[in-house]
Amino acid sequence: MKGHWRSAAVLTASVLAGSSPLHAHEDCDDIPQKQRAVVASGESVGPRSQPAAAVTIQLFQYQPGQLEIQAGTTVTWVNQDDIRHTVTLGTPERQEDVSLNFPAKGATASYTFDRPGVYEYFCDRHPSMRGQIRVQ
Amino acid sequence: MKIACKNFIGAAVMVALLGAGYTASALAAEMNHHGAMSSDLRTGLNSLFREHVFLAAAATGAALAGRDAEFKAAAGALDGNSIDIAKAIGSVYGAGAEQAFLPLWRKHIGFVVDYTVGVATKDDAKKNKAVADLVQYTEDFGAFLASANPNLPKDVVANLVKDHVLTLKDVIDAQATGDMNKTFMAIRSAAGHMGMIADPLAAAIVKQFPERFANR
Repeated sequence: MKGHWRSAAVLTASVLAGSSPLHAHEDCDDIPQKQRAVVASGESVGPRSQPAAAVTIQLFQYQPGQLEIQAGTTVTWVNQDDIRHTVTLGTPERQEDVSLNFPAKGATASYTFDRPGVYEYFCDRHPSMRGQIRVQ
Repeated sequence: MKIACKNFIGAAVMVALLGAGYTASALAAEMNHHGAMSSDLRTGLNSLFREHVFLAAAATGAALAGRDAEFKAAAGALDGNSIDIAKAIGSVYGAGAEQAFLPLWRKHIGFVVDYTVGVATKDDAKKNKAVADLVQYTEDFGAFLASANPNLPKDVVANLVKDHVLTLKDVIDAQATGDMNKTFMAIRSAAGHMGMIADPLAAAIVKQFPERFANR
């Protein structure tokens, strides 16, 4: 069953690189509220009490490759590879419109899955990279 | 377009040129099953990467000459070599790394095929795109190894792979001229260059896992 991504996807993207003032921050929680609002395209990632899960992008793999969560959970991906990756809904053959971009090592982005379903995703630069979110 | 290719050495004979009485795939199996000493690791990686060059040259030469059956056989052997290289990576970094590496490695072979087709059809746009794809690929490969091993800086690896790509391009360009002396000089050069990737890769792995690789 395919759920629906929010339009204008909720993104919290921070690039931890070089002289960036965010260099020391590995996740959203340490980002100042004002800055979080700016990078989140005007949408909130949700209250801190929401359930959360994490996926690491490392060695050209999503780790874990399969994740089971409850509806309403916010999943945060963090890129540990020194190359651009994406989390793009769908498959290379049937790509959805929503794509989270991780331009460099340290970049993070989050999305809250509201509806039950099985969400396939991949990296549009490296299509053999595949992941799956199962929302109960 | 067929190009005369006298005195062409078949893929099987090229593999035999590896010498030492064993094939690169047998070495890879040995590494995977029984672990490897640092010298074995270096030798194994050199053999696998040089085999890659010989088989790639066999495939591109057959393709340019229009020898379809030979091309398919060489391409099949080349893919076997790719699987062995991935297994060697997996023997160090695990099954997940092996599964991630193989499609990445195969990707650059696809771009080499694109370049060969461009040469055969005299399609400069296709050639240029293939070269651009290969240059971009070097960044991916550099990032993969840098992610696996902190002793392998991404840019250094990317530059070494770029040299590999360019030496292989020289092989294809030489094959297209039909000049056999030039072709085999280019093959020797490309194969020799692979040591510049295999040696630092082996050294970096040994440095990363000193307890697993004892010196002999």
